Amino acid sequence: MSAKTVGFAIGDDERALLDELVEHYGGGNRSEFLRVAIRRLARDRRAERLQNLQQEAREQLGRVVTPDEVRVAIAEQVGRVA
Amino acid sequence: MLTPVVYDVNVLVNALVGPDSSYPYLPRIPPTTENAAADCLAITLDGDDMLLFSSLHILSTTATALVRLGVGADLAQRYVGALTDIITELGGAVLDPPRKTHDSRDHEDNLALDCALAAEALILVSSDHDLTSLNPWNGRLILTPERFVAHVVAGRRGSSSRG
Repeated sequence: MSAKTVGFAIGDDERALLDELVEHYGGGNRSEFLRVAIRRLARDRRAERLQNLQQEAREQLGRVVTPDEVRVAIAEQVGRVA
Repeated sequence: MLTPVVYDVNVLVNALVGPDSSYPYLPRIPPTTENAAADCLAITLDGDDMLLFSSLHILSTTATALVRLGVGADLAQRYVGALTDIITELGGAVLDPPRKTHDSRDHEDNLALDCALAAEALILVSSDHDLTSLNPWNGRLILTPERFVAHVVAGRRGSSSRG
């Protein structure tokens, strides 16, 4: 895997916090810190997507579905006796 | 080293329409949440220890079961789309496995086992008793969502205390 240098600009007031975060999450290595940040943000984006879908389902159904109802729905779907 | 895992239809459906949880975030200390199926999905979102695989059949049955429960077809499709994106983004795959397994009396269960076999999954997660009663199967674990979450959380706590 080839690595390329990417530049970022930050304000003086953010520099101290950045250094702290780089130390904590990247062991002082900015590249490692960025890798950790990318992974975590990507995870959060996936989570947000699923969370929104779950909320939408809740609104459509107006209730929580029980595992028993799910079992029956799947059984009916595949033509099996629940 | 990531552990390949397959979630049965009931897990994927319950994750969307089941009880409240801290979904998609997983507490580190069990008991986790009221929705173990959602916790299962939360585990795979990390891409830290589990690698999720699925099959065209599992995903299409998930969508149709959701519609049967009253979820709109559009939402069901978007949910399956999101699952597909997440699976592939993290390095897993949606498979169309060949029909091989006949160990369960239930045809649908055999299709889930086929997926586990094709994915070389070490764990199949299901709340279907016919499936979990086969555990262990063919060198693989077949766990309920609750047991799977407890298994992963215990493993993570062990590795963080070692680290």
